[in-house]
Amino acid sequence: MGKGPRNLAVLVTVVAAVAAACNSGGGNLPGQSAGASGGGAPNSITLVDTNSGANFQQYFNQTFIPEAQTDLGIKISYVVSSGPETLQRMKAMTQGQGDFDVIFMKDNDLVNWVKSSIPLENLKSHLEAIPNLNKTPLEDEKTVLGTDVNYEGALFWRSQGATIVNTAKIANPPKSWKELYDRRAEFKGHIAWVRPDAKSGGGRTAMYAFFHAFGVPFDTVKDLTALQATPQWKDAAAKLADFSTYFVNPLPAEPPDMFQLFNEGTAWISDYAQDYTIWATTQNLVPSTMKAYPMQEGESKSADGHLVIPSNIPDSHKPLAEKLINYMLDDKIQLQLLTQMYQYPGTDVYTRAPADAFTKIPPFEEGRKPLFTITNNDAYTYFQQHGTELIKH
Amino acid sequence: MKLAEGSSTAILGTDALRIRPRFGVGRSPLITFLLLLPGFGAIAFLFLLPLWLVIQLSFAPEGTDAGFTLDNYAAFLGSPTLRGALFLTIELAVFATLFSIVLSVPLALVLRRPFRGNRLFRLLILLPLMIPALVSAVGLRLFWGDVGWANLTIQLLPFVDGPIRVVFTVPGLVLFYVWLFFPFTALLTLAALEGVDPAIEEAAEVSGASRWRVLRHVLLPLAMPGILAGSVLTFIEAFGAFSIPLIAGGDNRPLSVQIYTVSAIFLHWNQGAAMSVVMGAAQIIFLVTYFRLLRRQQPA
Repeated sequence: MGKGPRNLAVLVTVVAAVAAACNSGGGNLPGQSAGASGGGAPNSITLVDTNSGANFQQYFNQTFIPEAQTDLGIKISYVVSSGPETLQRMKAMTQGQGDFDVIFMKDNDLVNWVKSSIPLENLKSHLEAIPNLNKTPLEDEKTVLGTDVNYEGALFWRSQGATIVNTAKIANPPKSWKELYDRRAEFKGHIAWVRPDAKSGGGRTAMYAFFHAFGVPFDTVKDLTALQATPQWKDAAAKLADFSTYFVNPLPAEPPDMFQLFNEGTAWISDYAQDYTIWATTQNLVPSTMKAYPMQEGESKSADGHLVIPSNIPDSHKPLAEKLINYMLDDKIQLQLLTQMYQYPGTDVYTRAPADAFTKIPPFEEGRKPLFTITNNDAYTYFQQHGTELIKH
Repeated sequence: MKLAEGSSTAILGTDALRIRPRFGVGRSPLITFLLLLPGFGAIAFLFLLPLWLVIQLSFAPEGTDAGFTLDNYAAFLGSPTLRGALFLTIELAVFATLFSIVLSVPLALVLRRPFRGNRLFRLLILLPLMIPALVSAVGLRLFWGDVGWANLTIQLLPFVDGPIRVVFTVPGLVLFYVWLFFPFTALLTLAALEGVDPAIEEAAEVSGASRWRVLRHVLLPLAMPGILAGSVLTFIEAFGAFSIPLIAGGDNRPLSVQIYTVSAIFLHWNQGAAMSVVMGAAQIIFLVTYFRLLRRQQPA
């Protein structure tokens, strides 16, 4: 072959390869479901999870998804993502092109989505298809964190912080933040506190709870500068600075690090998510003698989980999305939350739960009674970004 | 053919003609160009373009991706915590590199000679590279923790009366970095030493040079390119290390961890981009200085 034809052959090959590569990604028309075969009803659905920690990601992957696929006869793609990332993606989606059929999100994300005018289905209008919604406090959830969300989220679980204590180390644990502060010398070097700037929000919600316990008026003084000028804030900050000299040093970078400190016997008491901690006892990640209970002044209602259906998904996917949400609110799944994962359910299934469901966690009413909602986002963000400056160890 | 050469020169510059014979890719510059195209494309789209976007983001006001401000750099350089993170990053990388060299040279001198178990030792050197850094970080954290095996063993010594704090300390981080990144230096040093002609070593010994002088004046200078290349790789890896300081660093949080915190937790992407640019620039400055210093040390 001469040089000219050879060059031509190379060029043709390259162009053909590029064209083939470009063409291979264009098989599906916009909006066409991967799960729809031959124009029939779709048989697959995407569940995006922006709320779960490691424990619940494992639950979804290993327990929920296999069972749901068998029970519902559909394929479920379980995708873990973050709230902000999913929000950006939703903003870019046009009507009928959405590919996130059901999204599981934190309550503050739901509020952000509603405020960002992301179109979500009003689930009250889907009551017929999602009868299990009647088991949730639907009317109470019309307003979430003070924002009218227009029935766009179904309450899947109720999450909360708790005081976690190794009862093998502390036989008579303090019942209130004030008692813990007063008895801090007993626990010097053994009070664990997740870094407030960690990925996990445990450290900053605990900080919020501590300030709340010492009377900081988060709800009435919304302006951060004014709040920081209040005597209550100054008093709580001084107390925290002193209290933190009794902490495990350095602060654990993330919860697994803190769990390891409990395992090593360095950490005895902390404030963290009830579900994750008690679940961790079943995985031998922390001592089996760990218990969780709420402090008397209150624990933060950290992040209730809501299920939403984006309005921009293809209409053909909506029945499947309804089916999945109804299944997630079914007693079977909601009881699993309680008995396997130690998370309070979103429905009223706790009233029908077996007696032994509350052996490792407090009964529902007792556990939920002292909860408060984090309403001052500026203060919370301050704890996240400057909380380490309040720690003086 | 002349025309083709001219066109490729116009596109690629005069270097294209110079590198052609070295690659031995026939005589057609068009083919050379087409073969180089995927590489250039990959560099442009997978490296230069993202890098440019990061630089652009670093100069944009927080929360936007366009515009110009120096606020992100000012916020970074004005924060004692973040400035401290930069110095800690440099400190960790420099010490990890130095200790890697100190560890690698004797090891390579031993391993270049055949002995029973030599292959196993070489395999063991590769071990840290085969294990994901995150797994190593967790393992080291547990092994060196207060009730880890290392500490339990050390406490058997009569003069040790409590656990030695290794995890969450700067020396501990250097130790972990060395464990994880020294294979780069060790392997390239070993390869360089194995490449030294034994006749040169023998000639020096026959001429009356002591073993130390042979090492000092023959082996080390000849192995220097390998040591240099390996230590550069170790430095680069140590400079960007993330998993180990995140898990086992405690309050010692180098720039990589701070960038993660600022970007992925505080969601200050623009400031995170500015920190990344400074980190990249610092790394380049260090490497250029390092190369220059070492080049000056080498015989002409």
